[in-house]
Amino acid sequence: MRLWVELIVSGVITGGIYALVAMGLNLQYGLMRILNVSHGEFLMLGAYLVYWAHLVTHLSPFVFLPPLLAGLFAIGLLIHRLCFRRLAETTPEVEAFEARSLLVGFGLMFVVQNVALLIWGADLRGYQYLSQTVSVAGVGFTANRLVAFAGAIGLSVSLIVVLRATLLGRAVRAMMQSPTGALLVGIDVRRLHPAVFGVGLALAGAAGALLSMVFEISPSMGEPYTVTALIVIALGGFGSVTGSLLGGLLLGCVEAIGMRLTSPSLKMVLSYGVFMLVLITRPNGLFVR
Amino acid sequence: MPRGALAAVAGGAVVAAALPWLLDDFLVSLALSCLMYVALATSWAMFSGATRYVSLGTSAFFGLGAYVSAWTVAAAPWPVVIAGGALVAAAFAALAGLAILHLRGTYFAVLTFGMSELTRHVVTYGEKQYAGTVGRVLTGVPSNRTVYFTVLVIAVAAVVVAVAVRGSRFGLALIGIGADEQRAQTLGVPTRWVITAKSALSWRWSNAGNRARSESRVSSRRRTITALSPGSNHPATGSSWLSDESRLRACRAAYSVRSPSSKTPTIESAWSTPSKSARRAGPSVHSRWMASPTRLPSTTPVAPSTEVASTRTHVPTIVSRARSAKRSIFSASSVSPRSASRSVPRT
Repeated sequence: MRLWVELIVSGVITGGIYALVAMGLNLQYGLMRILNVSHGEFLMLGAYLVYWAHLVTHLSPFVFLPPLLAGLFAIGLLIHRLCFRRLAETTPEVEAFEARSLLVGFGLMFVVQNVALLIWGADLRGYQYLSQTVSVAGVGFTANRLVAFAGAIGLSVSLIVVLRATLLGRAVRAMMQSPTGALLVGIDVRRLHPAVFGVGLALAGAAGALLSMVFEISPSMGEPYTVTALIVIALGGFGSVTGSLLGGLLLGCVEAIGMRLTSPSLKMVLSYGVFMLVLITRPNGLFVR
Repeated sequence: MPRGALAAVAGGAVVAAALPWLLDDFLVSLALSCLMYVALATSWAMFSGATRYVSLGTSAFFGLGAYVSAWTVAAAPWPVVIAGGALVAAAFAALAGLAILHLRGTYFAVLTFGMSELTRHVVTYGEKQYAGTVGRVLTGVPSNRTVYFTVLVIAVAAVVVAVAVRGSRFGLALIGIGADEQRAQTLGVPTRWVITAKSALSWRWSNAGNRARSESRVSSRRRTITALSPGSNHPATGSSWLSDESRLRACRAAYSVRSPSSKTPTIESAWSTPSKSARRAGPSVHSRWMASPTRLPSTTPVAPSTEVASTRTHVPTIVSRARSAKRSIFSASSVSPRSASRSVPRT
């Protein structure tokens, strides 16, 4: 019994990070039809920036979270300006735009990853932060995992609140529902699109920062998270942010339990199996009524 | 196959074949990489370019071919090694195609992307578990020159096959799918099926002289078309009511029966009985066609997409959702932001 509680709790903790990564990606896809395959690379970038800042200043990684969010947001604006705005202008049909932006993202993935390789090298790196064990109700965890989970859930929930409660969130949802309709009521696409793209990258960077507290980091750490995020999105439904949150938590649990029953090396195989199953049986996501 | 293309390929091949005698080792290895990319890009474009199914999984086939050659290179003669890599990758591509080609658009791209990651993890896991390696260095490989000519042959074969496929009935069917799958289906191009494929590559490294030599085998990834359902395998080329897009024209031409008197296919000669899918698309269109088989308006309205969509099992993708969303743009509920927030089902 205690084993299962431990498994599920650790699954939920991993799942919280998955959810955060997936929500950023899903927001971008839902709003702009940009399936940014390079999403995980910005997670990696966030992890490295926090690692580097921590190494220089020895302050708590949480101190760097706000400037990191701002920095990645700015990078997001820049990338949107450089790559996707022009692409959107020259590609009117949604279907063609999806395919092309996917390829742009694929290229971006290699660029960002190799820039990181150039700067930091291919070694595994990491730092110690809150690595003592904490016992909660008889179940032991390292403190940094709990802190990372709290950060991830905090960011996810605040994103959902922003989407639900503010005018900005309402504009984003309206545009997700009907781009042309949103234009008709005066929602400014040229400001909203870059902003949401930037928010997506900022969330990925934040997830990377949280991950860097727990795991070791390397320039190739991003790709598996991109795939995981895609799986989570498929679970929760393309374009559904709340679905991503639930899907992330679910996938974390499935992985934790599956790895216990089989082998940790088969993690990717497990989550991919879930992915295939969902796409074949419920292609619109688990939570769609 | 067009004569010009043939001449260009032959000329390029002759030049490339002369390079090992003309250039130094570094430039030859550079040329080798170029040839490899020629083969890879051609094989990718042959499938993805024509059908617009964006495949991000080519690396899986490439890597699989590489590993199969690595496993067999010590035990088998060189041509067998290459052919073995090609066959295994082809078999894998065929299986993968059967499993995932019913998906469309983003789902397809995402799944192929995941598939290449999955393949990598499975192979890494297997190698670690059973062979105790995390990467292989091959010894006892053929000379650089042999590798170079192997890659050259593969690259030329890939280009020739690609050009031949593009002009064939099969290639035009692929293009028809890329232009508009639902329409192509209604035209009688059987869209459900598929792939058989040969995408195979092998890649191997030799550390001789610290230089990575690589060769790749890419040959066509090919879809073979089989019938969608009984009755629909008849080329329903007469359905010129669909659209006048040139791509579809090409597709139509490919699926028409060639008239014996001339090489040009004609719509009229093509027609015998309507296919099941054409019949499903709407009796009115069919009867209109039957009434005046010789003078068809080329821009008659397209059959409602929902009707066509119902003939497929897995259409409800983002795209079709987006289409229906677009249609509902002018409904009052989505126009005011206040009501929009209420009617947005999911955030």
